[in-house]
Parts: sequence; structure tokens; C-alpha cells
Amino acid sequence: MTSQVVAVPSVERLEVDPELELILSVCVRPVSVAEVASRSGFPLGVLRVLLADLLDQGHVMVHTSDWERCRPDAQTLRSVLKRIREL
Amino acid sequence: MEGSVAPEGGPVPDTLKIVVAGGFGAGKTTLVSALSEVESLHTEEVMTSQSVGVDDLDGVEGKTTTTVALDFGRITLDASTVVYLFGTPGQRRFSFMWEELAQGALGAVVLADTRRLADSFDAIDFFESRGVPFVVAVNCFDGQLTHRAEDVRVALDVAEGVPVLLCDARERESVKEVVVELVSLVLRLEVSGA
Repeated sequence: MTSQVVAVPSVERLEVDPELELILSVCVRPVSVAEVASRSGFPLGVLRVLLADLLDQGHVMVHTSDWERCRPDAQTLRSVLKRIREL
Repeated sequence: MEGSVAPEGGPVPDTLKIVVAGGFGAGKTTLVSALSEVESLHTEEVMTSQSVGVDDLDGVEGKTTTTVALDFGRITLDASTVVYLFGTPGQRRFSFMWEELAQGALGAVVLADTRRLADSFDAIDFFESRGVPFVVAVNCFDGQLTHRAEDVRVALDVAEGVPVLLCDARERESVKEVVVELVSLVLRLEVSGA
């Protein structure tokens, strides 16, 4: 849900379905899966399938934070705390 | 934490996820919006008469709509770190969403409404059983500052190590304090090796 998706730039105009084109247009910059769902209007379940297609075709990259697998270390947490306090 | 590099050269940020669970009308959407840099992204639907009897609105008569889908906000801490706040309904029948949200979450905020404290039990049980660090934030609506955090702790039977604090979900500073409390808790657990 918080994995970051980013479209792989292409010189040629892509021949893809309009749904996929819509998704590519909202992830020109890295953006979370949840935000892509929200902006494209697709329910999360549907979006995941479409993203998998785009990933298979090499049109997007997906980056899942290591923090999804293990909690950040103490140093990272301290820096996160500091930045939140500064907001 | 070197992060990945996006095709256009900028870093792809690492993300931290915080789950905000609370009953209908507890103020999840408000809390998420208070801190989010973008207008909170969500789907809201007007509750229909079909939900009468299913979704008990006793004590929250002023609320005409209720969030039935996920709502979330984004806080960019720096180029490499983004925090997402996900609001999710606190009733047990939505627990299928908690499963997914709790996966890899840094921690959770159980947003309690003193008019309907019982709505918080399921979420508290869930996070306790999954070992997800959480804080209980008691949303103080207008003129409802009659409860003390310690009373709520007793009423909800919350363990000693779990912070319970009062907050105003509309106030950015207050919400910030809640998130700071949660991250501090996670840090304490990390340092103590728990």
C-alpha cells in the first residue's frame, strides 16, 4: 500500500490501454500505491492487478521500503522524531 | 538506507506507515487531515438508512456522513522519508483491513471517543495480539474535556506501557504530539530490544 511506484520514461509513445495510461500519468514521480489508487479512482484490488501488468511490461518500477520488513533502527527513529517535531 | 533511484534520477523515498484506528465518528479523517501535507485522500459515503442498526450512531448524532473506505495522509519528512497515516474503521468487521495495514506498520494510534469507548476495544485487542506498538489518543470534542487520560486507561484496561493521551484531532500541534508519542514509544521498544 505504501510501496512507491514510478513510471519508467519512454521515448516512444506507449501503446497501452487507457486505464494503464491513466495510471502511468499519475506516477511520473514516485508515488505510493495508495495514492495511485486514490488519484486514478481504481479500487485498490483492481489497481494492484493493473500495476502488476505494467510491472510485467517494464513500464513501472516498484520500490518497497525495507521498513516494511523490519522496523527502522534507533538512529533513524531519532531523526524521524526530530523531523516530526520540526513540522 | 541508501534507497533506490528513480528513473529520472531522484531518490525513491522510504515510507513509514502509521495506522489510525477508531470507531465511526471518532475523528480519524480529521486527525489525518490535521497533519497531512495534502488534503487527506479518502472516500466518504453518506451512510444510508440501510446501515441503521448496523452502525450504531448513539451519541454521535451530529455526524451525517461516515468514512467507509480508507483515508490517508502524507507527511514528507525529507527527500528520502515519507510518513503515511492511514485511517481505518475501528469495528471488528473491518479487521480484514487492519491485517493488511498492520503489515509493516511502524505503529498505530487508537483514536478513542469517550462517548463510545467500547468502539476501541477491538482495535486495542488487535494491535496487542499482533505486537504492533500503539498509543491511545482520546479525542476531546468541544466541551468534552471531562475525562482524564488515566480514567480512560482504566476504563479500556490498557497495559501500563501503552501511552494514553488526550488530543484534539482538529489541532495540528495536538496531532503532532500524538505521533511524537507513538514514535517515542517505538524508539523505547527498539532501544530496550523489545
